[in-house]
Amino acid sequence: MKNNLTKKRALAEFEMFLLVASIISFSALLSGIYSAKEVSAISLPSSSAEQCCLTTKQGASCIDLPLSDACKEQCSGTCQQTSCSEVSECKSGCGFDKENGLCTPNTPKKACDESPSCEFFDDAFCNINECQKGCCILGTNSMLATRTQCEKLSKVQGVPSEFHLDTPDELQCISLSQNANTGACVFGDSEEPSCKFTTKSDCESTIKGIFYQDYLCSNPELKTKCEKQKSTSCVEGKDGVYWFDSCGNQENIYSSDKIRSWNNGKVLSKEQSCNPNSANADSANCGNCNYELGGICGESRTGTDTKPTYGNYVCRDLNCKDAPDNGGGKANRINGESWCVFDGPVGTGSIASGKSSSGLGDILQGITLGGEIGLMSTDLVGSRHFRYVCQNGEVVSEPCADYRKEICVQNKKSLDNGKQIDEALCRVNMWEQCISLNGGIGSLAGQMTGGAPTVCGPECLFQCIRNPDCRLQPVLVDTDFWFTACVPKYPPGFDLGETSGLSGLASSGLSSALGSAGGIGEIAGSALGSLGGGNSGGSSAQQVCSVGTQTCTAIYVKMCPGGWKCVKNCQCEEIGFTLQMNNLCASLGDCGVYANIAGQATGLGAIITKKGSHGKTPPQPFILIPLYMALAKILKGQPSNGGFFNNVGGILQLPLYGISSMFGMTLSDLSPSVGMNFLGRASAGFNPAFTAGATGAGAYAGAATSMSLFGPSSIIGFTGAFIGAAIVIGIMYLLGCGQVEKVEIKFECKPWDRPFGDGKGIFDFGKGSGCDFCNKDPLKICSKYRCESLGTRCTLINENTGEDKCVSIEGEATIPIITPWEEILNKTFFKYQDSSTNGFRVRTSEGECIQAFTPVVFGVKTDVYSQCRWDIKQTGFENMSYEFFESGKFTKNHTLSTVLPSVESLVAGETGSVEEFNEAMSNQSLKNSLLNALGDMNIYVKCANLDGKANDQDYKINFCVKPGPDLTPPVVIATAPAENSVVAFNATEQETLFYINEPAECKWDLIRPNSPTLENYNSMANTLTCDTNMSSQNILGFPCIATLPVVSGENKYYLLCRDQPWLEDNSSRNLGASAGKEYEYILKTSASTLEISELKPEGIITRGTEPVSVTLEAETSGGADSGNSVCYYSLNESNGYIRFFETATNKHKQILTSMTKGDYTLKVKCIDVSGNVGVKTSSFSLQLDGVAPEVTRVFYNSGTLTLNTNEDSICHYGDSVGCIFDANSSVMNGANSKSHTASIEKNSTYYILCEDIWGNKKSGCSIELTPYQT
Amino acid sequence: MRMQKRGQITLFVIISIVIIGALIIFFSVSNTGKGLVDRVTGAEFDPYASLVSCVENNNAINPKISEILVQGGDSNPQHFALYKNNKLKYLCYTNQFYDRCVMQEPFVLQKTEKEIQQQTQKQIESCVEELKSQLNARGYSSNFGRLNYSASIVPDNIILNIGLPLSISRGETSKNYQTPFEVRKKSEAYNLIMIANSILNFEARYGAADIGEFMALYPDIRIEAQKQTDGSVFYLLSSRSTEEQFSFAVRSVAFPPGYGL
Repeated sequence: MKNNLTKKRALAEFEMFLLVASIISFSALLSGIYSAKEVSAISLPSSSAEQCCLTTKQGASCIDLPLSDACKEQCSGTCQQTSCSEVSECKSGCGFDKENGLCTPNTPKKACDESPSCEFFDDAFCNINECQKGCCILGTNSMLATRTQCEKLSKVQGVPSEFHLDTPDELQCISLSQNANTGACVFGDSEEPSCKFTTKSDCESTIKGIFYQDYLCSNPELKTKCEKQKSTSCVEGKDGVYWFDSCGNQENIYSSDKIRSWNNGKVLSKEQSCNPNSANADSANCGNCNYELGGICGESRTGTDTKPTYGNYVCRDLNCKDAPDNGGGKANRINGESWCVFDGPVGTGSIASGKSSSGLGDILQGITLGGEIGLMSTDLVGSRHFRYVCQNGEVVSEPCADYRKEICVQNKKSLDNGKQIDEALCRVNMWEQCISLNGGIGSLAGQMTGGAPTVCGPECLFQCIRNPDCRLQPVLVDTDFWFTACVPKYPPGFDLGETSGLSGLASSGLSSALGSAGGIGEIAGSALGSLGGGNSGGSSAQQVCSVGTQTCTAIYVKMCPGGWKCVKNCQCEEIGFTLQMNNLCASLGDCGVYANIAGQATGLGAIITKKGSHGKTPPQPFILIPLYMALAKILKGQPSNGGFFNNVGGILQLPLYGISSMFGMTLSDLSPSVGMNFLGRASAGFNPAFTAGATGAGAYAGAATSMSLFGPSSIIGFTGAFIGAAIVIGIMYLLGCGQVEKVEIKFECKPWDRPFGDGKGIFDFGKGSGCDFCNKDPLKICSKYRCESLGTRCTLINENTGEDKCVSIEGEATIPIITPWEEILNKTFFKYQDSSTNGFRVRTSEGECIQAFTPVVFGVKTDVYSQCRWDIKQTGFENMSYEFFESGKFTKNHTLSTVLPSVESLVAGETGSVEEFNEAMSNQSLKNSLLNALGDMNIYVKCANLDGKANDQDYKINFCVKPGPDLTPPVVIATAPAENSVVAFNATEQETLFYINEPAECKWDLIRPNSPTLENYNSMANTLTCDTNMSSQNILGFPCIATLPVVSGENKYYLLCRDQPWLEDNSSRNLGASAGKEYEYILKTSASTLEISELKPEGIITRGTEPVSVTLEAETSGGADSGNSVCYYSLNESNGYIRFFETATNKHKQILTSMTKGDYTLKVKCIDVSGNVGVKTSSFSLQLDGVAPEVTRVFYNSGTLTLNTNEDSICHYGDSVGCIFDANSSVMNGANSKSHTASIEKNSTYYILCEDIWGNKKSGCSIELTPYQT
Repeated sequence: MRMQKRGQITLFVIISIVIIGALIIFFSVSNTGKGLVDRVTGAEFDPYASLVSCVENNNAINPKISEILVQGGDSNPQHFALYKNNKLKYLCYTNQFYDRCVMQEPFVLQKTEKEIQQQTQKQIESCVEELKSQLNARGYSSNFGRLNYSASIVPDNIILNIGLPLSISRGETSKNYQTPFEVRKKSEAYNLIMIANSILNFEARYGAADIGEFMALYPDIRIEAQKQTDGSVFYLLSSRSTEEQFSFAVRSVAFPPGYGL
């Protein structure tokens, strides 16, 4: 039994090591991902981005705090102006407790210095000789311990110890002690001697008795006074019940068959004892308990355990009867068995079939049909994976990390008796790389409209299938709208308090950032980007969910006769589009329409809008609510197997499958396209090639970030909403046979919306009970995430105290009263007018209509926390199509922004040629209707409180566009890369993005035009690719792109733009790019290329034990920013590069902790903010020294003995025969050198033992020196 | 008349019993009484046995030790998480995401020993004071050396090591006591702390520890790992046999919700 347990332990520890090793590598790699994004999105963080606090006011040691006043506030001492890794007191290493022999990894130096018995080693993972464990045998017990620990325990327990360094395996270690001969030790009075059942060594060295191996003390041959089988009891460290003799000595395993159990006074092994392959739980007659099978010795408890035939000890039953299982089921579990328990469905599920189901009935029918199209990732919002363990008869719950950051996986395990049991563990959910694998996901729209077959390309497909936490999500709506995306199998949870909780949004920051944009001026992308609000919930949730926002473009052709007919992507108007897109959306995370742990689904997480006069809008996603509620109830969670973690071999092969490279980012990931992929689908849609080829940085990605923050509903949607059916229909009726109209059907995927109020909805099927649902199951501890998923009023109190409770918050229950938000409006340019309880008008500060293409930022306030939506038609809150900037958050300030179009731009956007444009504009009634529409635009606002109660009466905000000719020249609003950016040293060209405030055509040249005349404009050599479509507009304006040539040094480019492109050569078009003149744009190349000036290690590294810690260090210089760069290393280039753990400065460090002996060639690549790349290779050989030092020379001279060794050593000497030296023994001078000296007596014999720095020494002496020899 | 006589006898018997009882209590319980008995009988008083008895029976020591163990080996931790009204000390902590924790208390065993020593020092000193009164009451003149007190946690026991050089004399007899002695308290603290140490090593190295395997290896130890939303894990270790608890908090390789940008 013990062998089995030990075997299990050895394997288990190895698995633990591998599991946790994978976790740390995952986390390190993840940090790489994020930092890579940092690089691409903002700029390289400098080394001073953090301050080190040696001791916080709370008493925590060596804490990195952000560079702000936080450090002063939280630190009890001085804040060091660098990160803790650079502070000597906080240097992490191994703390070795010399007194107790214990090792503590990742210990700050100062903590070690504070303890006199601590010795500090540089290796933070304690891969040092002192911490090497061996088998420590203490009497009949043995354990893995360090040498010092073993000696200490021996001293404390008063038993002799043996330490075997060559037995690091615990299985062998245990067997060493079990193989120790046991038997009767007879001592004392020869007439009636005493006896002790013990080991031979104990008997002979301690008791000084006569040892009879395998004899019991009650054996009559020994003639002791001990009488057999007088009582029963348990024995420490053993499973079974044992007989004891009258002297208190252990005998054989208890059996009611006394004769067989006594075995004629000889030892009877466990295997030979009664009923050996059973737990023998509650057996009255057999005490051969087996812990692994669920039995252990214990005193019989009245009413609980069986009364044994003899004595009072039995094998207690440790198994768990009727243990809770998935779906409310129960099952019997073996002691030690672990299994996964979920809140509902998990992983991949199938909910429907048919891509063009005509109604809900069909969908519900499809639940049982399955099929590719109905696939989705089914983990419920608020759900968590739990690992239950049967431990000593009770079920213990171990929750995996919340937000499904960990998942529970389960495998089968065979016991010794052949029975199979479940074995579960929580491991990291590797979901993030599923999304990042979709290299082209940012260009989904472009690819789809362009008809490209897949989003997840061949490499993505290959990697996606191999990753156990990813799966392919097919979207097959129509022949021209289909793609496959790699999505998480276990979608992540988001901070629901951030996405739809009470908001602490920095409205003032928003106000100032956007307020400056009230007029036409430069808007810093980074400033807008910073409004995302930090690292977690809200902004990132929106970014992840926005991956599922897609537009299907249906094509209508005017047939004569027959009228308008759909010819392409017609199925996008059917419910199949809604279902499949929502399946994709909900599979990305807590997005879209889906259900929570109480089975309640909400419908505000996704919306479909249509732009175009023909066709129909497909059913809105909220129609799927009953479907998902049924799914939450019907599907039962099925644990997945461990994937790559299901066996040791699988884990070891992880890198071979390229998983590690998937964790890390390749150098190509450093390009801002990573950020663009997630954040900037506007430009991705504009030109996929641009996304792929973009290599800019800084402001570029910042601008992209800002785009996503404002999103379609606030800018594009706003404008698009006004290009309403009536206006466009008017234009379309003018067009003739064969004309084509594009109808854009957009599925907008947003963060999942919490149920209003306390979650006691009408659709809860009696399952939910409001916030209290979270408190019901003691094995499923309530957390913030679980609680908040239940309702907008649900909040967790006593968080992280063990008395956490989900309660419903009171207050804020009145219907919101809406008022204008004065502070958000830039009063220099605008004002609110005619404000009343029903609404207000937005006008210029002079009280006039607003000039076309002028950005306006405005907003409303509510007296209670509420969620606001708007529409151009009067409708209920739930049916309103558009959100405010704050999205699903409950806040008191609600922001909107828009850039109003001109009549001409609207008509131009809907016509295909100058002729059509002129024809439309010549139609006075159409023109008048457009002028009227733009001259009196209303949006209707409704705000709902925490309970979902919204204002009954519409709140109307009115705008008007100033009619008349456009007299203002276009202006460059923003650029990416930013002006005066530094590009790579050897760059030859640079993709550059310019944002123009209005639709315009632009040219550039290296020669400055004399003046902004048409002649000069025409003479400019190069044309930018500009998108003048209204749908391409965002808060920065209309994008234009150019590939600019770059030469060494400073490069100047000049731009001129010409507005109103629909007028073609009309002289009334305005020219300019900056205050009516040309725009000068400067790029500089780096002064030098980036170089890896130093890279360590090199050559031969010798260590004493495996695994070996190797510190990879690189130093960079040159480039765009004095060597500051991000470095990556690769052990195997085909598996990609992994980011250094410490990098993003000019010094880079990575500790490789599990290296084994061998030759290594590590490739290191570093890249700086401008794209300069430095490459270098580190070649080294890891060697193990397992050989004891040899004495090469010894001589005596005038009382001094000199001894030379072939390697650095410490030599002990003395008169101990056999060279048994302890820590207090004499050491020759010259420790840790090759030459050793000592003063000796000429006529004495000396025994010398030399030990190298790895602890290698001979089993006897290195040398014995007799008087003759000296 | 006969009834009165019987009543008197009964009364005398009761009074006698009361007096005898009072004397027994006086001579067996009170220090003065014991001293008188010793003087009359010439019996020797064992001061160390008296001290051991006092320490063993002191009701304040065990709760102090329990409090220290349940708070991660610290009687008053500064950096802690409140869990069920106990301050769980962060023994390994990082405030960062995706980072391994930094060991905050590298020597939990030593720290716990030191805390026990400091927190029970008063109780030991009060026992020494009681010993002084006992010696005085018994007519001894005594000379106490400096109290040298420490606590060690070893397998199966917490040992309170008391070094108290002492010389006592009464009449012509005098006796010196120099050898330190120890009071052993049955405890699973050593095993609990060793397991905690292993968990901490795993957390500091790899950011996680599998408690299921620890429980399989140590059936007598119950381990709970309560994972908190902020990434902290509260480890609650308890002995099934002695019901002792050792609990602490760790924050290592924490993940933020969502994409964590």
